[in-house]
Amino acid sequence: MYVNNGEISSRQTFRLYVFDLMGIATLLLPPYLAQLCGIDGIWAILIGTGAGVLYLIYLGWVMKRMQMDACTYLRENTGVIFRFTTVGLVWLHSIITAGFCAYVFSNLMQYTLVRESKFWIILFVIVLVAAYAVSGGIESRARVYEVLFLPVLIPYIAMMLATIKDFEFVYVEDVFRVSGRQLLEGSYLVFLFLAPLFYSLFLIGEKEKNYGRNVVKTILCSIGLSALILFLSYVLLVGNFGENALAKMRFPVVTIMSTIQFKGNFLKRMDALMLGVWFFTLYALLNLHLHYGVLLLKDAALKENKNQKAKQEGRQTKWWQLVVPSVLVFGIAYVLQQYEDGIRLFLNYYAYVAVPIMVVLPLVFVIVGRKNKSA
Amino acid sequence: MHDMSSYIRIKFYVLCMMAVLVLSACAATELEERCFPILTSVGFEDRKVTYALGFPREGLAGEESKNSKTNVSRVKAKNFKESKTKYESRLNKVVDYNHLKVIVLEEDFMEQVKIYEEMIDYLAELEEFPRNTYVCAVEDVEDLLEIEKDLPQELGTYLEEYLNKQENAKGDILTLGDLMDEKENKKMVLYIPYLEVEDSYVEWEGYYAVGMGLPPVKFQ
Repeated sequence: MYVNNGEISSRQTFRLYVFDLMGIATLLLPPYLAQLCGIDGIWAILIGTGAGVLYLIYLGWVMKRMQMDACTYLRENTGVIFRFTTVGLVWLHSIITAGFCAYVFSNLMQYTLVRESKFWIILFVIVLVAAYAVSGGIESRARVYEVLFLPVLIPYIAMMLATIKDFEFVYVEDVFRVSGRQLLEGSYLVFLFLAPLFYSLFLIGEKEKNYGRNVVKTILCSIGLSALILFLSYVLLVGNFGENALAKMRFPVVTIMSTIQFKGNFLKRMDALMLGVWFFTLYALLNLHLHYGVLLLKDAALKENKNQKAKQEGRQTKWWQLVVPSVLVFGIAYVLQQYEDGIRLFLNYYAYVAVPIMVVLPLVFVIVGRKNKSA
Repeated sequence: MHDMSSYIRIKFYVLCMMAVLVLSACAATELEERCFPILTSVGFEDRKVTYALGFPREGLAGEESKNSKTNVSRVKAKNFKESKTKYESRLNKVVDYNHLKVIVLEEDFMEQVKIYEEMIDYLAELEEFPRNTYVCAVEDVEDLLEIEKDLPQELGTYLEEYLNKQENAKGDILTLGDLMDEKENKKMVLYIPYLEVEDSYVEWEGYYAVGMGLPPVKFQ
C-alpha cells in the first residue's frame, strides 16, 4: 500500500542507519586515522563511538522535549525568522554533504571500475538515480535497504575475515605510542562520521509519552553494529598493510578485497563484486542527505493550512523541489573534484563548521521553542 | 493522474540514463585495442634499466596471440619509469596490466638499491600493477627468457604455477603488494624467491632478503 506519510519502521531505521554510518566510515576513515594514530586508532574508534552514543542520548533528550519531529516543532513553536534561518542552515549542510557523498561515490566508481570514463558523466548518472530514489519517498528506500541489509553485510564480513590469513602481528604490536592530543583528534575524526545521527531529529516517531525513545534505542543498536564493523575492519587493515602503508592508500578497504584469493580458481573478481557494499551504503548516505535537502525545501514552502486536501498536496514533491537540490549536489561534487584533495577539504568544513553547529543547534531548538511557548 | 505522472517520470529517467550510458561508452578502450602481459622482466645492463613484457600464447578468444614472445625489443633507459614508458610506446596496443602474474627482477637490478627503491615507489604511486603479482629474482633475465620455448606453457604462467607448487614447502610467496607495504612500514624482512635456470627448467635455490629499510641481500 502506498502510504507516503514519511514514516518507517524501527527495523528499517536500524538498517538504514547501519548503512549510513558504516559505509563511508569503513571506506574513508582508515587512512586518515592511520595518519593520526596508527594502530592506536582502535582506541580512537572506541572513544569516538562513546562520544557518538552520548550525542545520541542528548538528541533523545531533545526529542523528548520537542515531542514531535523537528520540522513540525519549528513550524509550531518558533518564529518565522528563526525557523527559516535554522532550516536554511540544515538544508545547506544537507546539500553540501550530499554533494560530498556524490563526489566520493563517483570517484570510487571511476577509480575502481571505469577509469577512462569522464567524471561528470558518472556523477550525472549517480545524481539522477539518487533523485529518482528520493522522489519515491523514504518508505520505498527504507524497504530496499531493509531487503539488501543481509546480502550486503554478510559477504562483507566474510571477506574481511578471509583476510585474517595474511594478518601480520608485527604490524599491530606497537600500541599506546600515540600522544593524548593525537588520540583526541582521532576520536573526533571518528565522531565526525557519526554526525548523520543529527537527522534522527527529523524522523517521524511514534506518538508516545516519551517521544523518541524507540528511535534512540534503535539507532543505538545501529551505532553499536557500525562501530563493531569499523573496529574489526580497521584492525584487519592495519594488520594486513601496516599503519604507514595504510596511511597512504586511497580506498584501502577496496584494495584489501582485491588481495583475497580463493583456492580452486573460481570467484576471481570478488573485489569487483564487493564494491557493491560501498555502492549501496554510499548511495544510502547520499539519499539520506538529498532526502533532507528536498524535505526541508518542501517544508519551507508549506503553507499553514489545516485543510486535508492542502496537506495532501503539500506532501507531494514538486518538480523544482527535487531538481534544484539535485543540480546543487551535482555542482558541489563537481567543484570538489577540481581540488587535489576534496575529501580533506570537506572534512575540514565538517570538523570546524558543520559538526559544532549540529551539536549546538538541537539545544537552541529547545530553548527558543520553550521561550516562545512561555511567551 | 498520479499513475500517469509516475509513468512519465519513469520514462524520463530511463531515457536520460540510456543517453548518458551510451555516450559514456565512447571513451572506453575496446578489448581488441589492448594487450594483456602476464610477465614483466626488469634487468640492469650497461648502467641502464632494461624492461620487457611477456604475453600469453593464446589471445582472449583462444587465437594465437601475435604478442606471445617475451624477448621482443627489450628496451633500455635511465630508470624503471622511463624504460617502462619507452617499451609501452613501441607497442601497437594499450597495455593492460590487470592480468600480470609475475615480475622477474635481475640480480644486477636488485644490487642497484636506489633504482630498485624508486621502482617500488613508482609502482605504488601508479597503481597499475596488481598487488598480488608474484615477485622473483634471477641471475640473468635473458637465460630465463631463453628457456620459454622449451616450456609447456608461456613463461609467466609457468612461473606462477611453479611458485604456487612450491608454496607448501617454501612458505608464502611474496607479492608486489607486500614489497610496497614493507617499503613504507620497515618492520619485517621479506624473502624474494631467487630462481636459477638449470637444463631448461627453473629451480628455487635461495632468497633475496629485503625490508627493514636495508638494502637487498642475497643468500642461498
